[in-house]
Amino acid sequence: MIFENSQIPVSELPKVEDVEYQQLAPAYRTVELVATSLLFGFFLLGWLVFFFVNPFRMPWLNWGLLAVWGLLFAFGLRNANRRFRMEGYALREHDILHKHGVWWRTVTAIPFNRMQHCEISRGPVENAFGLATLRVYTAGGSSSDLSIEGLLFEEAQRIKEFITQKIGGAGNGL
Amino acid sequence: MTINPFPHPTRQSSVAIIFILGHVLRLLVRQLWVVILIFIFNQKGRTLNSFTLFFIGLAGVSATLSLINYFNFYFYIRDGELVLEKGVLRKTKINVPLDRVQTVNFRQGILHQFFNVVAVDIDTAGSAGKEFSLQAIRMEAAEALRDFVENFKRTADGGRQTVDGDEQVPITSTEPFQSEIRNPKSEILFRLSPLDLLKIGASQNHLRTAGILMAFFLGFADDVEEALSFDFSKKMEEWIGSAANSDVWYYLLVGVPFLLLASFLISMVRTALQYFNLQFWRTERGFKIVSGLFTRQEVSANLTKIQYVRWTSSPLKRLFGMMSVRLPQAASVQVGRKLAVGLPGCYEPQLSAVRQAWFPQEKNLPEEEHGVDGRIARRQFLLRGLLPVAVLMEITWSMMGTWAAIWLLWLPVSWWLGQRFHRSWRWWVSDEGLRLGWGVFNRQAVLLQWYKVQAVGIRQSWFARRAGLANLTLHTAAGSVQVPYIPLAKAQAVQDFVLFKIETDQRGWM
Repeated sequence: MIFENSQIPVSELPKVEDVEYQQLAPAYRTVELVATSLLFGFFLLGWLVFFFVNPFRMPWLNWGLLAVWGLLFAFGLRNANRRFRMEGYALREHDILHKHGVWWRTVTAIPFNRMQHCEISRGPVENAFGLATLRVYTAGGSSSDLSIEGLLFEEAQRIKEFITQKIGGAGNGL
Repeated sequence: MTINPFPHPTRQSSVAIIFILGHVLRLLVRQLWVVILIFIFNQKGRTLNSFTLFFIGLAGVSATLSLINYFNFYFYIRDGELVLEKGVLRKTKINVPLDRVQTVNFRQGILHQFFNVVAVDIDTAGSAGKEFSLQAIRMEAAEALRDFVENFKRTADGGRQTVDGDEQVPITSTEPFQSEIRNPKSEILFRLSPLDLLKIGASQNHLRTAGILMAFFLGFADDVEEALSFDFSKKMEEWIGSAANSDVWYYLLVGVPFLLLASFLISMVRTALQYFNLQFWRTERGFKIVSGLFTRQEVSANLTKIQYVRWTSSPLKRLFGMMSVRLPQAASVQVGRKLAVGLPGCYEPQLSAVRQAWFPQEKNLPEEEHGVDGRIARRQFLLRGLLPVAVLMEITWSMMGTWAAIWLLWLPVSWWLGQRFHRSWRWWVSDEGLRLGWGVFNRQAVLLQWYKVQAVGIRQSWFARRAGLANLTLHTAAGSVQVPYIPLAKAQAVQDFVLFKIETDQRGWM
């Protein structure tokens, strides 16, 4: 092979920024909202106990706590919603991109030729909603592994299939 | 092709019994030392007989355990795998595919040296609990093992295209091992002189030693208290209480320097023990470091496994013109730090040699210099100035009253340090890699090649987003490297470029 070292036009490189991200399955939003509601339902139970036992004999405290609960609940729901809207993934020819997070926004990119393997897992809740979690492992340890929750099961399988093929073809850089 | 030195199940050298015995005894003593202490100190009403009986029992149990352990421990190489079998009641069999072996390291304590045996530690890629170590085998056998493994990997790499999948040919040979050719192409790069050793000892982190010392003392005091029903803290309170209030300062004045002196001495001794007669070798495939006074340790790092190079220098080290260098290697998370081969202290030429060997193109490539955003100074000020001062004032207010305001003096210093920190942060990008440098007192530097990167991440906090900044993280198989507080557009440009480099580079990262 002839040695080539032509200059790379950096401005013409494919940009991660321009990618259109795929949203997660709408059912996942439901799961998130239900999970948040369950958590806050739990807190409400705690509040009810507090209300009837009334240890401090200060009624305003009880109602104040309920108001705080309401505010936090609303905030939690809004956060869950935003989390859903912010999260997305994109498959490109040579890598997978994943963005997530509301307060801390993260975009992670893993090239196929650096992936070790990928797997799909489903918990009981995901099962009930027809969802699945896709995990991609690299040699970079847990901080660089990718985990996309809330994919439709069929879609997760398709992606896994695609990635597995790519990993096999890319030779893994090992 | 080298010949399989261990085709059949082999026991370790019989010297291993001593080490196993030592290991078992240590385990027992660690479990039972409180009981032993009680026996020694609390002999009232006990005859000497029960005391001796106890120790004879202890020795008997350890000896039996050790012998059983030794005679049930086998290792061999078969079908491209290193196999270890051990255990009596719970039998364990560990198979390590030879091409998964990362490094074969030797350890030699005084006893090892006396009997001409070595302990062998074999690190593997991935899966925890598969680390493989032998207590003692003959030196020649150990070298044969290492050469065989390395040769196997070399030929397996070349032959992989023709040989199908798991079936690897060269290993099933069953002839006994013959003395083979040793790697002749090693050259020594550096040898630590006693003076260097002294410098390194002096520039260790003594505060850390002090911390360990305190923790050790407190833990020890706890155990002794329990064992002998002796209340340390009460005694201490008595001492301090009996002294007038002003004497507390006196105790602090004497105690703190004493602690620091003790830490200094301990660091010195530890350094001397660990790095005595350290030799830094350039081998055919990478580097090798041999060191230690009582326990000679030999670790090697293959160039291909090194994921990045990191060097640091404390002010004292800079005064001596020294730096410490680490060569983190690809490994499972579980093996962790153990695989970072490092020099505790060396000079510029050695660092250059390392850089030249690991990243030969580095010095010929044009670099582009960048800094980080000034807001990083504010973060430093917040984390190292405002927060600690607030906490300290809160804690000491009741004791010192308005004198607690003295902590406020730290704020301007911290502000200034933050500014210095910002100015110290530099990163240089070239076509093939990245170099970073930062730090006011402790100067740190990292050298990375793009093709070693596993994944690229851009992370923005809420504040950073408003300022258009981002943190860029490059994950390698030996840890992550982060460039903080850079403009988002720059981070994205680097991300695009690195992905392009990884995806087009045909070299293996390991």
